[in-house]
Amino acid sequence: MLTVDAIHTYYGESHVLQGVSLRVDAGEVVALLGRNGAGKTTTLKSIMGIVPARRGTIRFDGADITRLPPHLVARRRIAWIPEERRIVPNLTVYENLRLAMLKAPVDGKEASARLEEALAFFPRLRERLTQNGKSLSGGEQQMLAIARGLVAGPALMLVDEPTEGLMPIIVRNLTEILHAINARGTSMLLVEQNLEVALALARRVYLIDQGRIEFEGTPDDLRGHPDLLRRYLGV
Amino acid sequence: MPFDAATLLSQLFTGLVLGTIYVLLALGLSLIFGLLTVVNFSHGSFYMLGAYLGFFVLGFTKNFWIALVVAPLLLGLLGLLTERWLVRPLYGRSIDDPLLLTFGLSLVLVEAARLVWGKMGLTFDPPAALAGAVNLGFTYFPAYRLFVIAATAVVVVALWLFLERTTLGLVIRAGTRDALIVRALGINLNLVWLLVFGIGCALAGLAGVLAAPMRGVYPEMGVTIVIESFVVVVVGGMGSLLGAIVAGLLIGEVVSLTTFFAPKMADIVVFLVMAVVLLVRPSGFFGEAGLME
Ligand SMILES: Nc1ncnc2c1ncn2[C@@H]1O[C@H](COP(=O)(O)OP(=O)(O)OP(=O)(O)O)[C@@H](O)[C@H]1O
Ligand SMILES: [Mg+2]
Repeated sequence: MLTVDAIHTYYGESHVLQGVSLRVDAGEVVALLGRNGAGKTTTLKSIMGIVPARRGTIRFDGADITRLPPHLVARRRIAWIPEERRIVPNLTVYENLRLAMLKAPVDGKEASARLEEALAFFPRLRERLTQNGKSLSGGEQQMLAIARGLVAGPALMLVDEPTEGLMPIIVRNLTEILHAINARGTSMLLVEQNLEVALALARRVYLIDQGRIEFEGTPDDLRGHPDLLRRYLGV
Repeated sequence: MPFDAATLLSQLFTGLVLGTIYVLLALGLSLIFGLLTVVNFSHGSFYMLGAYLGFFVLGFTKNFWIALVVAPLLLGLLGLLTERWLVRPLYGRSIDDPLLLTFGLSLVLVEAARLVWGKMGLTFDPPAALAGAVNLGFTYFPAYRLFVIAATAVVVVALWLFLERTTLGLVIRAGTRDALIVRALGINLNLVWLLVFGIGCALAGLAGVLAAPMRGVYPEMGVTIVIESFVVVVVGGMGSLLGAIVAGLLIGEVVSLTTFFAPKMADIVVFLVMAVVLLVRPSGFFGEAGLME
């Protein structure tokens, strides 16, 4: 479904991704793990076309999307759930969701079904539909960020540290919801600092360090290599 | 100095009229800055062109109302061309680049107006239907000026409805705060930027036609007022439309009252207001800090 092949990405002169390759197959959750500054967010931004890769190729469903601008990547049913959540503060919860549905390649009826589905996952959002984005708590903002990705009906979700800074009970809740979303057929590339969450959700795991993929395997492979966990994740 | 309540009231009305012109100019500037982070220095020249084009459309058609609609549309079109061919190539560069470019454009336009239409000003007569004065009880006030107040109110309400009630308005409000997430949600902001630049310039053109019967038409008519309108935008808060309205009316009143009570101060009072407001509230009345980053 998604194939990232030896991409090199720069911020100005700074060479951040140095030949990252990875793959997400249909229906999979794939985790991308690494220390702070390893290049996880940059990988997702390169896929989204936000910081385009200078070399290498990114293919999605057979098409080359390496140089597509973000709005065209999104229209191919790839949803980005950013690390900072990026809820539009001056819009209501409902308007944030509506924004995400404007260009979604779905018709009106399917769109309202998706809205219902997203709100069923996050009943707290339904109670706050008319509330401003900036008045939401951190957990609610994360819920809205995921819901906003969902309503577009994505085939693939790029989820960047969904549990960062949240209470354990909300972390558990979000983990279950991400699992349920995947069970309904949405593939995921998941960046996560919480190793337990990542290993519980992912079928395969990549470790990234200094812009290079250093390991690829299953969660069980990784558990069997405490040296790798120590070297690349510091645990 | 002759002073009584009626004089004060009529001076306040005069300030309100001046304020509406500031409001129209500042709304355009603020919309453009809020969404595109472009300081559009050519706004004053677009205002001037609005007045000239209004004058010529009026000459052709003998109909003020047609001029009032057509001139802003032409300016909107000019705005679209300016965004597409001059401003767009500068996106992603420093905020100074579009500022310098539009500053240069404004000089070119003023000079071109001098060449084409001469340095002499033109007189623009208000439409016959609005030629008289209306008895407000405390004073007789020119009907045309009351019309300008009403027309601005209509434009402000229409703009508000557009931004709050339409899909495009939703995208503009979101894009003003976080362009990147809007694009990542599948929306092509290039088209929205283009359109907003056009709307802003059309508002400048409208302000030009509306102001022409009160202030005359001459090549430099936009030079001072655009600077005062920038002050309005800064005082109201960069990118805040509510701020543009409140500050526009406030500064209109301040200028009008100062002109009356202390004429020597009239030229600098706007900057005094700006200095005081910025000392107390560095981001203006309704500004969000950090917009310039
Ligand atoms: N906008 C930017 N300009 C310059 N350098 C950047 C920029 N964003 C990130 N970097 C650098 O690129 C490298 C990778 O950053 P990235 O955000 O991808 O890391 P990450 O793995 O997501 O880290 P974290 O776990 O802290 O989110 C870091 O060294 C970072 O300092
Ligand atoms: Mg990151």
